[in-house]
Amino acid sequence: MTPGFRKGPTLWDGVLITVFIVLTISVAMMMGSPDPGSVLEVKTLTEEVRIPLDRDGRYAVSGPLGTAFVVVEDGGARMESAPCPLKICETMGPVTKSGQTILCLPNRISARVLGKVPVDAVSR
Amino acid sequence: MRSPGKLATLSMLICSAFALASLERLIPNPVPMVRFGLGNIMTLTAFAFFGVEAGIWVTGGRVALVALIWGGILSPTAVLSMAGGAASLVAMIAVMKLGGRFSLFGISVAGAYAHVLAQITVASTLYVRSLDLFRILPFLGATAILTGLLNGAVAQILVSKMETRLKPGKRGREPSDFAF
Repeated sequence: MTPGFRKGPTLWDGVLITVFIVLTISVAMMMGSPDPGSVLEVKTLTEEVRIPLDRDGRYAVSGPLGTAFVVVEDGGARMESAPCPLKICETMGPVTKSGQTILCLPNRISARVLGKVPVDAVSR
Repeated sequence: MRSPGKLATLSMLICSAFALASLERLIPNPVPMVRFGLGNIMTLTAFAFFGVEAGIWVTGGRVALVALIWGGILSPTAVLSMAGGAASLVAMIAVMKLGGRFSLFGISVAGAYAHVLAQITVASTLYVRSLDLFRILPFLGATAILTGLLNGAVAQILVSKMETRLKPGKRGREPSDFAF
């Protein structure tokens, strides 16, 4: 090897990986356990609507790529059909707990579950 | 510096990185948002053989090719991929500059973790505008450590296999030194 690295995992690799593991676990602990959600906050580029999760229904949400359908049932929400190419958002649901989010980046839609008291301290 | 052999090897690494990244997009992904980052194997190999500059070329070339061929240059996917690529380069170079204490394993894990961190940060500032996305950091971070170790292992195997076949600089830099 021209610049030359050590072979195999070294002690320092172990130290580095331990640091990352500790960081990961501490972030996980900081999050705490989420409380059950009550409202779904759907944001698009142009509008922002809140949908109660205790009432079942099917809602049309429009983004730059077209119309996506958000389905609310059994206290949770999921993206039923989306016009985006990869359909990642359809696999992200159902979301039920506060803080859980369904994202559709291509269609610029985000749907976030809010808790009992929707405090909006972190969002801008 | 720019010998035909080095140029050819570097081009091959960029193409392999692009091929691996493409393969990763084509195979169905069981868990959303989790990527193996197979293309990084080639960046690690470039670091091991030719140094920092070559690694930057391989990552830059891969990200540019993927953006050009698979999706718009300014699409959210491409922007996230560029941010991740840049951050992982910075982290990997930083780890390498710490001296010869780390192997490809440590460098790879640092790159993978920085990639995840940068993507979450950019996605939450540019596209989501809330900090909720950081909730998936523990999951993605743990995945990054695992995939980083795997990629580091593969890169190390590749480097030792290539070392026995091409030995740059042993008898000057003749093209025959690079023959496979």
